[in-house]
Order: sequence, then C-alpha cells, then structure tokens
Amino acid sequence: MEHIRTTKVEQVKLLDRFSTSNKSLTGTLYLTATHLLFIDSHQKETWILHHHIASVEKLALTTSGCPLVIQCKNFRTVHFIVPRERDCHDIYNSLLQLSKQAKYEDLYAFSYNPKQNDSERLQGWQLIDLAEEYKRMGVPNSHWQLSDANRDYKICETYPRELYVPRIASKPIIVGSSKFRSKGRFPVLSYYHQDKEAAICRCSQPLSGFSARCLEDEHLLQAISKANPVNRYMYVMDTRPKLNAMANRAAGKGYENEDNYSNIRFQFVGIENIHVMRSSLQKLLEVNSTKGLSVSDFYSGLESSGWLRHIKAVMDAAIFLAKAITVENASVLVHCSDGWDRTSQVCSLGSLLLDSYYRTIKGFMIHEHIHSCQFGNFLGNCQKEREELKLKEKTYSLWPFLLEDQKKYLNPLYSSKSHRFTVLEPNTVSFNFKFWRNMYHQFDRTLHPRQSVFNIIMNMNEQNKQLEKDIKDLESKIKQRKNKQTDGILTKELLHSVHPESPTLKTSLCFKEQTLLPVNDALRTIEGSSPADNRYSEYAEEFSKSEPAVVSLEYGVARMTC
Amino acid sequence: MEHIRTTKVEQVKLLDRFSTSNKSLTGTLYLTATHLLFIDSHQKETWILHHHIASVEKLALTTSGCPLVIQCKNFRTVHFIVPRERDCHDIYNSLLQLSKQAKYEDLYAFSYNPKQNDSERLQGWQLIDLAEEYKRMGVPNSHWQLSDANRDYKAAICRCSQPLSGFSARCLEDEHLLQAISKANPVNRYMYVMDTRPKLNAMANRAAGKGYENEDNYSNIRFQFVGIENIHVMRSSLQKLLEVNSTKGLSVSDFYSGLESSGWLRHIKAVMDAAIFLAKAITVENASVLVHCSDGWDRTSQVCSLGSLLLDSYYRTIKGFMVLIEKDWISFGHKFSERCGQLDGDPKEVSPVFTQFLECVWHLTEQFPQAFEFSEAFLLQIHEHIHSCQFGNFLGNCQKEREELKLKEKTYSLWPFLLEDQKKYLNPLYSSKSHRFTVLEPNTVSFNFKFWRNMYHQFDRTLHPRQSVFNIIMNMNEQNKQLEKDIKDLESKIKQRKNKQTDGILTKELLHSVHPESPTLKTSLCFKEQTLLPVNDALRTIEGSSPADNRYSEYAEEFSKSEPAVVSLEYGVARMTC
Repeated sequence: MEHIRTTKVEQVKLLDRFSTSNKSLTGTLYLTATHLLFIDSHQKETWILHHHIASVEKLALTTSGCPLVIQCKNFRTVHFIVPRERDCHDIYNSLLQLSKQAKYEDLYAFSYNPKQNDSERLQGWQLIDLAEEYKRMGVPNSHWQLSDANRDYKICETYPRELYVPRIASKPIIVGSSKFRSKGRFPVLSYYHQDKEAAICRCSQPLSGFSARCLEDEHLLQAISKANPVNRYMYVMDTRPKLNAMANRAAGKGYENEDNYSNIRFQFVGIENIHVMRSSLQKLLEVNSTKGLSVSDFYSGLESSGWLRHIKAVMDAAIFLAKAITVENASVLVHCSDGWDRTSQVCSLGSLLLDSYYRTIKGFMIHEHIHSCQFGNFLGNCQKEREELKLKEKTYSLWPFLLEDQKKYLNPLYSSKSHRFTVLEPNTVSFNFKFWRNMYHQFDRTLHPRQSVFNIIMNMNEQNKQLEKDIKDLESKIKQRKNKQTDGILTKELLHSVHPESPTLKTSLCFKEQTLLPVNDALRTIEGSSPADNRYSEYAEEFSKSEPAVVSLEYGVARMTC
Repeated sequence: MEHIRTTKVEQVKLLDRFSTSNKSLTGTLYLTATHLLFIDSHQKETWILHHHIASVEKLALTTSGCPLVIQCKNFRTVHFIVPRERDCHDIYNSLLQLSKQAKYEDLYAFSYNPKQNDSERLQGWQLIDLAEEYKRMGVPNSHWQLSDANRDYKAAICRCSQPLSGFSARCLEDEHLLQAISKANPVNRYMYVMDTRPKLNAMANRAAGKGYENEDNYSNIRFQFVGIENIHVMRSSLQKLLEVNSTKGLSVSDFYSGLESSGWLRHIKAVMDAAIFLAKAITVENASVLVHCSDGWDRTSQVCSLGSLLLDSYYRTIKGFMVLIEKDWISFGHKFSERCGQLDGDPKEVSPVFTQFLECVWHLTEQFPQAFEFSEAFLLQIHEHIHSCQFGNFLGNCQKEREELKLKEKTYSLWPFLLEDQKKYLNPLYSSKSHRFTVLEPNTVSFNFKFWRNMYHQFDRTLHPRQSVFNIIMNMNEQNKQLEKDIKDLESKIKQRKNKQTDGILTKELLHSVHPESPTLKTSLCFKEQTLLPVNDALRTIEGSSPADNRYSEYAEEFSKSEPAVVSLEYGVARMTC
C-alpha cells in the first residue's frame, strides 16, 4: 500500500488504440493494491491486474494531458490520457513498483482469497495427482521403476522428488550420470507409451566439452534403450540449433558423441533459444500495435518477426518425436541446454500428439503453462522452491477453479469417439501456420469479425441437446401412459405436456441470434480474477464468479493519500 | 481430332508435387478430344479439360523419362513422367494445340451435350432474367427508367467508363447526365464519382485524350480516386502468388514473404475497400455513386458488384448471386473470353479480375459466416466454369458478341445445373433471418486478409488439414433436422390418436411408431464420423463437367451427374493414330 500515492483520478481518457478517428472514453481511474481500475461514463469497468503489467510508459505531455501507455503480458495495451501531469506521474511510479515485486510473498496468490476453507483448498491441490498419472501411463512396470534417488533433492534441486528410471539403472549410475549433466538433470521418464512400450525421456545437455565421457551416463542411456523390448536403438534429440550446441562445447557442455553411446541416433532439431524467442515476440507485438497497418506491412512484419517460424520448429520437433515412437517404436531422449524450456515444449507437445487423454480438460492440466500469478501453480521455478514457499498452504490451485467452470471451456466439436485421431499427425505445410488473432488481439474488440462460427456452433449444439431432451420427454410420457392403460385423458395430457409451446418451435427459438461480444454486457468483470474482462470473446460467458473476493476490504480501493 | 497423334501412353508416372519423398502413381495416360485422362493402377481417374490448361512444359529428359508439367487455370498442377521422349513430345504438341482454340465454335460448350431437349435448354437460359431483377430493385420508377438502383436508399450505383476529357475537354451532355443522376436522388443533391484507378494511372490517361472528371465542370460531384491497380499488375501479382504456392517444402518465412511480395492480398483489400466506400456513401450519406475505371468493365464490375453484395442480402443467396454475375459482369461486358484466355489471343489481355471478385466474396463469407446462402464450394464451382468453356454463359466478351454467337441456341447455361445441385452449395450456417446484417460492414484490418487455401491448393490434397469443421457442422445440422423430424412424427401420432379417442391399442401403436429404434439413438448415429476427402471415393469423376475431380473438398458430394455426356461416342477416347 505504501506504493500508492494517488488512488483516484477523474476525467481520464481511455483511447481506442486502433480507432482511426481517435475515439476515446472518459472516466475515472482507481488504483487498488492489486488492480488498476477504469470506470467509464457508462459505468463499464476495465480491471488490470498489476502482475499483468509488462511495461508502463509516460509519453510527452500533450494539450489534452499526459499520456500513459500500459502494456500487459496478456497482450492488452491501454492508452490513458491523464489531465494533470502530476497525477500521471504518481500513477506511473506506483504502477512501476506494484507491477514488479521483489518477493514471492508479495504476489497476488498470497493474498487472493476465494473464500474457501483449508480442506477445500487442500482438496484443490490434490486434484491433479502426478502419481496417478504415471499409473495411468502404465509405470512402474517390469522395465521402469520409481527411483528414490532424488527424494531429498540431493541429486537435482530442480527435478521433482519422484522420478521414474529404467529398472536396471542403479543408483550409482544415476548419480554418475547426474554429475555429467547440466544442473544435474539426468535422463528420466517423461511419458511412457504403453502400446509401443517406448518412452519419452528428458534431461539436460551432457558436460562433454570436446572429448569428455561418462560411463554411467552411457550406461543410463543404454538402460533406456534396453527398457524398450521392441527396438534396440533410441533417438537422442537435441532440440537446439547445431551451432548453439557446438558453441556450448567450448564451455565444457555440448552434446552426445554417437561413437561413445551404443545404439543411439542423434538428431538436432533447431529450436532457437529464449533470447531469440523473446525478441521475436517483441517484434510481433510491435507489428500488432501499429495503427492502420497495411496488408503488406502486416505480412512482412509477421514474416520478419520469425514468430511462426519458431512455432513451426517446435511443432516439427514434436512431430519427429511422435513419429519415432509410433512409426519406429523407438524410445526418445529429449534435451536442450538445461532441459527446462525447449525440452518441456517438445515433450509435452509430443505426448499431446500421442495421447488423446492430454487433449481432455483434465488431461491438459497435467501440462504446465502460462504466467498468471493468481494461483500458486505457476509460482516459483521448480518443485523444491514451491515446497519452500509452502504454496499448498498459502495459495490456491488454479485447476479446481477451471474444472468447476469447465462448461465454459468445452469445445462443441469435440468427439471422444474419434479413434481415428488417436495419434495426431498435423500437417506442417507453411500456410497452416497462421497468426493467432484471438490471442494477440484478445482485448482489441474492434478488430474482430462480427459473426462468430464458434457461437453459431454452440447454439446448434444447444439446440441439438434440447431436441434430444424433447424427444425423451415425449417418449417417457408415452411409456408412462402405457403402464396406466387409461383413456381419454391420455391424449389430452400428452398434448398438454407438449403444447401450448411446441418443442419444435421452442427449440427453433433456441437457435437465437448469437450475442456478439457478450462480455460487454457483464456489468462488472475483473481482470486477473476474471481474465476475460473487456476481452473480445467468442465464448458466451466468462469467469467472473470470484469477483467479490478480490476487492475485499483490506485490498479494496485505497484511500487518497495525497 | 487432327491434333491428336498419340492417344494412349502406358507406364506414365504422376508425381505428387508436394511430397518430400517423391511419391508417384503409375498409370496410363489417354488423350481425348476434350480431356487428358490419367488412370492409375488403382483405377482412379484424373480428368483434365483441355480448356483448363494454362501452360504445358516439357522439361529436360531424366533417366526415368521425359517430364511434362501442366498448369491449369483452376490452379491444378500435374507433373507427369512419360517413359519415351517421342510420346512426351507428341502429347506436348497435341496439348499445345488443343488448349488454345482459335475459334469460339471449337470450344467445349458447342459440343457439350447434357441430353436435354431444346425447350429444357431454353428454359435454362431464361432462369436468370435481368428485367425481373431491375423490377425487384424497384426500377423503373419516377426517377429511373433503366439503370441500377437500390431499393432502400433511393440512392443509385451507376457505372461508366472514363471521360475523354484529356487536359481540358468538356462535354455538356455528359455533365447533364451526371446532374440527372444527382437529381434522380431526392434525398441527397451531391453524388460521388469514384475513379477506381490509382491517381497516377488516371493522370497518364489524360495524355491520350482520356482521363477523369474535372470537379469544376460538374456540379455537385465529389470526386474520389480509389487506387485499384490495372489488369497487368493483377496478372503479374497472381503469377507471383502461384510461384510461391508451387514451391516444394516452402518455409514459413518464404511463404509469408512471398505472399507479401506478390501483393495479392493488398490488391484484394483495395477492391474490398472500394466496395466499402461505395456502400457507405449510399447507406450513411444517402448519396448516389458513379463508378468508373478506364473502360468500365474490370475494376468497375468488381466494385459495383461487390458494393451491391454488401448492400443487398438478395445477392447473397444462390439465385441472387447468379443474378449479380449476370448483371454486373456478363451484361455489362466484362471481357470473360479475353480475361480468361479462352481463345488463343493476346496474353496481355488475360487477368484474374473475376477471380479477385470471387476471392473478395470468400473473404466476406469468412467474416459473415451466416450471411451467405452459399458456401465456398459454390464460388469454386463458378470459378471452374469461367475457364471450362463448357457452358455458354462466360463465352464472348460482351452481350452483342454473345448474341452473334447464338449461344442460347447452341450452348447450355450453367445456372440451372448449379441450381439443380444447390444442396451441394448450401452454407449450413446461413440464417436468412439475420436482419442485423442486412448491410455488411466488413472489417478490413490487415490480418483479416488471408490466403485462400481451398482455392489455390484445391487439388493438392496432401496440404489440407485432416478434420474439417465444415463437415462437422454439416453433420450437426443434419442431426438437428432429423431430430426435428422425429419430434414432428411423435407429435402427429399423438394428435392423430386424439381424434380417434380409442384406447389400449393407442399406446402400443405409439410406441411402435417410435421403437424398436429410439429416435434419440437413431439420430445419434446420424452424427457419424465425417468422411474425409469424400471425392476420393467416387470411382469416376470428370474434370470440367465434374470440376471437383481429385480436388480436395470439404463438401460431401460433387457435381458428377453430367459425366456420361462428356465422353460421348464422337468425343470419346480417340483411337491411336500413330
């Protein structure tokens, strides 16, 4: 709270950043401990969570006031004009400090209170049980076992406690291998394909330099090969560009020498590093933020950002991985440098292609992503750190909230019976890689088409369900009557149950004109707790139930202090 | 027939042009008077209409044979390997001659025989009646005798060619005619004159004694340049786009930089922007608009027809779209024969002006999925037939020429065939009640201009996604209809019984009518796994008559009914003559 100097500024303008006529809304800006809130003259609220703020910029003073541009990590950009420079400066400074916290404990998750008791919270954390997941995959089995080597985080601080390794890999081999891998991240099981008896394993790069070897590491890889009874050779995928991997050798790191490892097939994949990716996204966002962008500038900007090229590289790697398993029945070991960025992308995407379970809502939760700080799931950098932060005691898990609202996230076209697509084989021809408008322009409503196929399909689906229900009703009425064997009243009642409103008519009305931009209508939605605030949405309703909890008394609109 | 030297070559390979592993099919190649036919070892047939051939190229001899690359106007490219060079050469020469006819009378439409009698054919030609269409628009009326108007706005879209103004010439009659147009609009006194060319082009025309209207000489006009490029720029833009498309193993970067540098989508946007300007002038300002370019048959047709499509939901129906094409394109003299290169003529007159129009419409269907009665398949089918020369509609360059060719006596109209098969072209999402979108206001932000995969890669099946949302929606729609029908059945049974007022048997019969198979169950089964690439299964389909042959298609069935008529005896597989 000590960061907040000004809590309320009136007569602030919110510009529409893509309007060619410089449209704007006038309203009042509030600064709370957790959110920036703008209420326009129509009482429409725009909430921006401090943690979502990526950058705040104060532009040169204009005649109408001092412009304040806020860019968010969820790709929202807002452009305010604050009448007095002094107010703008105060807000600017407050946001700078509020958006960058030094300590985990100051993050929103530690104060977020959805009014649950401890047992509910704990239950939430138990929803996703990784041990259960390994069981589902079919391990432990005769080839793979749970290792207690890292039970106390002694071998690798950044791995979880529970790790699956080949049964024949002894502890000395594991320990030896871990000493030969960056950050001690030795090869462990990531996904087990039960039908093919093949495994996806992951690790970090070997500390091979130009010539170093490690017999334990060689043994561990051989143990992984041998744990696959069908195929003797295994793939080692280095997800980095070859040049990067070679440069690492000079620092005593590098990649596997095929001569030292028996039965491996080594393969570079060429996904660029985090710095290239960061700057690629930056370029993409610059293109996106251009007002009145021409078609040529859009496509040349999209191309030169390289973003879709990088997306394709990750996809290609995952496809390579899935094919190795389904076509060749081979196990695959995936690594990059430290084995936590590109390796996570490739392993998770690969298993998503292979296993339809991960394409369900619950299954997908197994996969970790994103940087919302409201829930504890994504705080910290590894399991050890998360335990030290006591996240399970002090914060809530995101998953039960998503599950509770899963209706909102259902795909109306989903067909679980579609066995034909058990293994996905995506087509990677270049024009299939398209700009994701609903991600990068999710808050820029004016840029979206006015009719949404998604809404139409949802309505059609609803209508379908209603019709099926009507038929069931009619059938059960008929059956019921059969048992009674009475007359006269029968047909009258039957008709009563159907009319005055005929189901046909009723359900036809169901297929209503879809509401466009439905979020617009919600009087209050809160960013962060309700991540869809003011967002363009093809989806009917939004996640706003937790709203009252957010602006609780102690974290409510702060008092003016200046 | 005299052009055909070799009619059958065996052991020919058909390469998959996008396969990285150089996959190929081996089969027999046949040359008929109208088609090139390839039958592979699985008896799958690929028919290529000679009129669809844009270019034939014989590449350098390889160890496996002589490569023959054929590019078609409907964006199909086939790559054959003919074992003997001599055969390849013969086929090459035959195709060169067969694909470029010197006389209209040699075009397919004059021999195409769908086995209809004269009155059926004539009826087909009378299906689209422009006089009726003007009546529908509400003209003639007190202001308009015969021209082009819009019902709701009392404002009109007019069209013409550029004035012969040079640097200073005037024409009082022309000034009066424009003023008459202004006055015919009782609401708004000023009118827009849209010159759809870039200003530079219009100025250059002044040197040749042509040019554009001088605002000082015409009272109450608002003059506006729109900046759509000319036919030559468009031709070369499409050429560049096709070069990008034909690259094997194209990287994402090369695709997007190629797409950008082709300029294709920029041109599409320019046409769209012009139509939007036109529609806004009418709906927002209630002003009449006069549209022209140089000759008034290319850009002007694009802008007027697209503008009307935005304004009038009738043109977004299947029948209405036919009327729109008849009105703004065929009757106003868009030079289909020259622009499509139907005869062996000046290659500089060829230009994808109409293709651009269809692509603009496709972009609109993407933005307004409920506003169009027809689906993408309809647009593809029409595109197929502007080049197929199978029907008389698109032959010739203007109405007068068409009359001289006696097309209505000697050829068939495409429209009744499309109407008969309209089920195949229906958009399952169409909502005629969607009054909200009477006037379409498309969003022209740049990323809404997308590459039209199903047009430019319609024959490249391996490039398409494996699940089609379109098919899923079609199934869902079918299921819904079936359910509604089930409910009606149940209701009518109940009603029927009510009148009889009898007992005992009643419920038993009622249940019988529903079971043993419960409708719920029955219709659930309806929602079957969609057939992917359904056209694949059709044993015989013929390109041209059945333009969907081997085409990637999201649409269940295809237009193959007229097949037997195509390979009739006299036009059947020609005998070997060498």
